[in-house]
Amino acid sequence: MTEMTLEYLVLCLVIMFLVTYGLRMVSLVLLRKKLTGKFIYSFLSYTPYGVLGAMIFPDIFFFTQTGVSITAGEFICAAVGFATAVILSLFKRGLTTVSLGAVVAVFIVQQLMQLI
Amino acid sequence: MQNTKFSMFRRGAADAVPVFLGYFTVAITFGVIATGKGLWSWCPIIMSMTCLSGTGQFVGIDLIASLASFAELFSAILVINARYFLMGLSLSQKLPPEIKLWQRFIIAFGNTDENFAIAMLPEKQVTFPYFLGLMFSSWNGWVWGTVMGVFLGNVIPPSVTSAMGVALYAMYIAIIVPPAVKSKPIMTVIAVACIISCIIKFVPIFSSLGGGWSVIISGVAASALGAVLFPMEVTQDD
Repeated sequence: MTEMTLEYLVLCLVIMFLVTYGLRMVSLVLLRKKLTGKFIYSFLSYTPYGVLGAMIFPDIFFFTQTGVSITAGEFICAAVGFATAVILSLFKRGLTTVSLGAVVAVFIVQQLMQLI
Repeated sequence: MQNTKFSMFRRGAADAVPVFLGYFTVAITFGVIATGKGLWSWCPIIMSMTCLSGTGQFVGIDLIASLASFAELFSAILVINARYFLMGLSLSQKLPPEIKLWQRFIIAFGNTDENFAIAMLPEKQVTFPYFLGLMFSSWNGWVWGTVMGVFLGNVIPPSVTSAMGVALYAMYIAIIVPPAVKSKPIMTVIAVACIISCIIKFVPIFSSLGGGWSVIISGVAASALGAVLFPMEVTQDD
């Protein structure tokens, strides 16, 4: 059993930095050529969409969750945030507008629900 | 010349305003939780300054507070953050050739989910000053949020914090919806990624995989499918 010593904390921080930075750095620094293979080129062009899609779904429906399972009210708030973001994006609003618009919509619905 | 570099930096910093807001509120929570676990106040702050990584830090602080072994900490952070490797591959293809090697070492530090997402927008020219601008906003949001959480606690009312939880998701949506509407292949890739990620989350056998693996498996599978079904013409424009 380790103790919470200064050495332990510093080593933990070093490990976290090295792993996090290492993962970000290795691929960016080692791969400097433009890849011309059709598959890999297409794959890496689609990667942002695949990764972002997986990061949004289904997590966006649970960001309001406070307990072990999500309540109907929390789910509705999350769904309103999602819908607002999609609608504003369809109108091609900037990132900040969409982001703040969704926050305001969720805030209003949360306040309304507390009144009911 | 200085002027144009500065204007690119400013554009990057402005584009990352939603990241600043999203990070700031999440980082306050991080600072509050870390302090609640009885860690010295400098520990979460240094962690935020050096890691700039949401989920990784929440898990990391948990493990540290429970005196986990170094091997455990190492492997947990490796799995949770493995997606950064994939994002680095993808971003490397977007960087223009004039970006120097030492600049790549710096860009890598700021290649978080959110900065990556903005940098990969098709209309963005990712110059070094532009990326520094993205890093400037996100780093400051994350670090100052942590400082606030550690020293002042929950300064933002819980109702606001809760609503702010949607900020970064909404930004992701703003990034992927316009190209998805225009392109069937992109729409397909997103849909497939969402479906796989939902399966991993809700099907009990897979749900033990956790968020780190889920993003990689869903992202890789969907992008690979996209590359097979809708191969792109290789363009060498820049």
